[in-house]
Amino acid sequence: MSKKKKQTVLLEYQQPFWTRVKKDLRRNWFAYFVFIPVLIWYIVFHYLPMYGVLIAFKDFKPLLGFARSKWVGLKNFVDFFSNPYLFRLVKNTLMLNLWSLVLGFPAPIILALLMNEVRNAAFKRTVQTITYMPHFVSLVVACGIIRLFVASGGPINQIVNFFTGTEHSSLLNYASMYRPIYVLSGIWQGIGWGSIIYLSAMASVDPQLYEAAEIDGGGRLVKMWHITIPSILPTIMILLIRDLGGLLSSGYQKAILLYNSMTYETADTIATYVYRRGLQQGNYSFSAAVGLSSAVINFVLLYISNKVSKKLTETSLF
Amino acid sequence: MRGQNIRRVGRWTPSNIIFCIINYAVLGFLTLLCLYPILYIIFASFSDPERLIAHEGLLFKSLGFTLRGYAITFKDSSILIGYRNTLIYVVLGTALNMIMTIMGAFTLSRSGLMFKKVLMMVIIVTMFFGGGLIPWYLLMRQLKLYNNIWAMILPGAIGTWDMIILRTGFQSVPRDLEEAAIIDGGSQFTILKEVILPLSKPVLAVILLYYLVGHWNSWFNAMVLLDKREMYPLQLFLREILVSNSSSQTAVVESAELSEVEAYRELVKYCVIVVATAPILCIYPFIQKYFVRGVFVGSLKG
Amino acid sequence: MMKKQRKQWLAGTAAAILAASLLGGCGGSGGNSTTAATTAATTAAATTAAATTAAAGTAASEETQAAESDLAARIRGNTNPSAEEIALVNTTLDDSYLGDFYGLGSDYSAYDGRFDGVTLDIWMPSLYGTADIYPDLSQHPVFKQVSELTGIKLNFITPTVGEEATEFNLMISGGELPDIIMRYNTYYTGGLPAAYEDGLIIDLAEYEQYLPNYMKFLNDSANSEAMKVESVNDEHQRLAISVLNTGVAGVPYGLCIREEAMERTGWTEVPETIDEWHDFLTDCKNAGYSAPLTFACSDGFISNGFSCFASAYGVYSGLFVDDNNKIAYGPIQEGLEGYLETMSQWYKEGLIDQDFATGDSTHRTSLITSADGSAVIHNSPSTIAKAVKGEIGKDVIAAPYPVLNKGDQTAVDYYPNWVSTGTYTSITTQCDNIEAALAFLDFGYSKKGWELYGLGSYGDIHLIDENGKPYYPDDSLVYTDEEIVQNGGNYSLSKYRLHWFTGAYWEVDSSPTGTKNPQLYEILGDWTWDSKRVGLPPVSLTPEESASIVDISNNIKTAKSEYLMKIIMGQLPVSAAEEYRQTVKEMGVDQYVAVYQAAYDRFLTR
Repeated sequence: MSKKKKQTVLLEYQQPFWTRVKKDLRRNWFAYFVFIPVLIWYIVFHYLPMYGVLIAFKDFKPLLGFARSKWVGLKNFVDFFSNPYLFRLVKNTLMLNLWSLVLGFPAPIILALLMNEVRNAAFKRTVQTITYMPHFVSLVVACGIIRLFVASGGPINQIVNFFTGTEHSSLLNYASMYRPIYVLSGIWQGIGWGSIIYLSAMASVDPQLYEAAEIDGGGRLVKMWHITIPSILPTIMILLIRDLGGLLSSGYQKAILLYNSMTYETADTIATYVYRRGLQQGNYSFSAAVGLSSAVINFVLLYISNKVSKKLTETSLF
Repeated sequence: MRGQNIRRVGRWTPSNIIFCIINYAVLGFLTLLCLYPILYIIFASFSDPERLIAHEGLLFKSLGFTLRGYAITFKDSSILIGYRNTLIYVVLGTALNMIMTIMGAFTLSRSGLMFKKVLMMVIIVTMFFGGGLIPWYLLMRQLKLYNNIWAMILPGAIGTWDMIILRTGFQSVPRDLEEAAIIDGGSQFTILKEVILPLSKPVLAVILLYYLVGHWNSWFNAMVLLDKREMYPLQLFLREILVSNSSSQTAVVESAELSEVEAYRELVKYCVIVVATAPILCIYPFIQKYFVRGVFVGSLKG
Repeated sequence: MMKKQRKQWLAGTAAAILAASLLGGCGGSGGNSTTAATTAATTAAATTAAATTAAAGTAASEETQAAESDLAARIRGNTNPSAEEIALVNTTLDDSYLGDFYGLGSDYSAYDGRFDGVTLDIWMPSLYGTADIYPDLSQHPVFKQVSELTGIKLNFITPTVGEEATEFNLMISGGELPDIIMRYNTYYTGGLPAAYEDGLIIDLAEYEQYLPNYMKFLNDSANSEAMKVESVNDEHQRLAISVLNTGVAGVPYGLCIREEAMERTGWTEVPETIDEWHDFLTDCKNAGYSAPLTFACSDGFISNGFSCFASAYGVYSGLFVDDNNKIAYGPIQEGLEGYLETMSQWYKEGLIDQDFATGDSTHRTSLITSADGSAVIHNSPSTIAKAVKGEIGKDVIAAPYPVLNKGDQTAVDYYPNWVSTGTYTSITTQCDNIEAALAFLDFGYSKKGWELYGLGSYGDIHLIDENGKPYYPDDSLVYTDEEIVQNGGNYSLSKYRLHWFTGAYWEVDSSPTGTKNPQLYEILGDWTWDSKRVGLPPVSLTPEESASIVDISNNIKTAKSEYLMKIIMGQLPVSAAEEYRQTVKEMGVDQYVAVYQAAYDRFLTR
């Protein structure tokens, strides 16, 4: 069958462009038809205001508006790229995101796989509901609880003391501890919520596949490896591509609640820097320049990871 | 029936038992870890404010018992107005979200569309590049999406990642089922309605949950695009209580009175969180039932 | 009732207005809304004016003197006013029952009805949860009363608390500006000068005649010289009017020792020098205090923005004015090593709260309130007095800023502002009725406005003593209102009064707790006036200047916090201070200082 398909494609290639367009529209008119409102929505709500990207090259003043604000060329970019802390900011942003990716990305998958193996429905439901809750705890409170856990005398602080054999003040005073705290607490807050999408993907796996594996004498791990994971692989890949395309983006809310001058060395990211530099003063042009720079890099990362994923797993965004 | 099948096949071999024990232990531990912050908030919300603020360290029971925090939170009718408005925005907004997202995901999940890659690019670019707040705001004003219910619904009609996730879900529907439907003379619409949607219930449930939670928690659009307080969603009222309780610190004058406030500020913070999140937490069990393995494939085939 | 009162009084003062307008040669713009009463008054006044215009005002005001002193006699010292008297005071512009304070003015001539029907749009962030109590601020009892007295209707645009910057910028990007904008300068990039340059606000210097009470207070106040300088910018533009302080409380933060800690350690006098402080804190440690010294600190200075202990070494947290009257950057001064040596030693010895770097205000409050937490707190004495009193029934003793050698003069990194920075109120370029907008704002600087904004309405909130000074009786609603009590006093700040609104103000006169604890403000004054004050006055930078140093100022702040905190906590040796100096120099601290030096020079020649 695949051979036949290839042939058709080849044939279509030889046809003139507009003939192919006509044919495509006739064949897939419904698919295009339902997409019209979606496309209109994207044009109106995303593309019409997109001229705003250009304020990165202006000294934008809300009062003067877009047209009357002065062009300043690359000044905002130069300001950002000539910053003595630039290297550290980029490095910290990347490191936090990489660690979050390496540890945080598989965590919900593992949780979903483990839950998938639970037979007791009541236990399963309880675990699901409770692990999903921390996602809803506001950041302020979550960070308050983190502080309590790592403060001198707090449970996590005690554990660290036990392994290192030395007394510590609050772990948030040590630059080396910041990344583990940030990443692990992120996992703690997001693991249950993140596992939902995988649980739903697992729900569509055909039970007959498991039965067949049973008959072949496959154990739990074999089934997990050969049936469950391949079935949810498209979902995994799509989310992985997304996360790879966000390696250079970061939020400042959690950081400003957890970091302090003792940990700037590892905690200061692009987002916290822009925040401290005066986001509140409405310095739109500078933030736009920083935003645009990281968006370009993020987009390239996404493009590459998409290509790689297409090669390896045949799953891709485009 | 099929569930029973699986259970019967699972044998109690030693390795299976060990796996089960470890699995239950890990999940149990994780559950406790995730449960603690919830308990902490609940304990704190009922605590005596003076004792709460003087307390350092973890909480394992409420410090005293008082409902005054909740009394302050509910002191006027705005919370109820907020609940009502949020409910309206959540229902209408999510309905529109689902329709638009399904339409978009359906098209993007079809194979053999000439312009699919272009369309995909058009959509993905918007995730990275945007005009920023002010051009967006001016557009909203021009579109008259200001001070009316559409301002809460239209600007967020599609979540791009949600659409992509749904597309991935649609793509995982076995091709042969679709082809069977085409052979039966079904149109594209029939395929969507009779094959794809029923088979994608789990992922639809997840997207639904994402949208529900998103609408429930959203406040920024409301803050920027709504003027009339009688239209405010719950989160905006709660934010007002939360933030105005904490921002008094910014002023240097009259510090004497502010210290008294601090204790209540703490307390109200927790009450507000309980009030704002309790309802949305109750939604999950309804979503959960769509995650039972194999039900849909089985029922369709059977 | 109210109308009648006003007209009665108007009949008297209208003559003065006319006289003034004749002298000034301007026609008076109230014609369109003239009422029958004013017409009558004008005619009456015109006949008087025929003799000598200058004498007319005097004659007219003498005429009303009799009626006024009658009111004063009934209200002053009255502890149980009748309903009629309460209504009388609350609806009249006659302020004869008030004594003369601080040189406040009594010019109400603009409120003769000429602004009836005028509505002002005012963009104003809410403070102290005011918008939480009154979602529509024009319904606040004080604003309602001001509206009735001045005839001006108010429409408030209140941004969401915490999102003021966003909402402000969106509003102006929409192109529709309100008449008045308040407390906006930190939300507009470049502050006031940029706002003027971009055409957001107008220069009020041309409109001073519409601000009679404001100008009178500027000229007649005891601190007139300082105020006049601070209220304009280098070009003598008046881009905004601000809250004018009738009295300055002084440096708000200082060292507060628990009385109980003195008893426990057997110290009878407060420590003065750094060495004495070391001994005292050590004694406190031995007496069982877990964190003898507690403070808020994120940049190596105690507390943020102040320079307690550091000032003994001549080191300050930011820019300061040195002995040669030049601007210098405080953290890189010579004494830095000495300061850091002391602090890191104290930290190692456990004399300082070990969690100060991560501690938030909740953490500090729990240390302050628990019996074995802190012995000494660097904070506002009023806050501490409250917190400690509430828990263990003891008071605090305020100690002066420490010095190196006995007898040295203390130093504080503080400039007493007579013109409150940050309370800027401006008129936008789209204001339709500048005269009305200024008349409304000017009210806050009149005696009546000072009374009303500061202490709310007469009768239920405050009474007037024998000397004509308003005060809160014990059964005032600010103390007894159920809602205020339930909310832990939060609403007492703003439910019945609007002390933070543009006008003349001093905490000691009108804060419900301040008026009861004047000694707290004396302490603040002592700390301030006995010390060498090295704080920078409110200089103004041009938009270009502020843009040129935004990166430098941000980077040196980061470097300061990072180096100093690490040194104090022992993660870096004291010798790293030199490396810190070099780093800051490379970041361009000299340029930063030079910009401020230029601004300071301009300030001095104002």
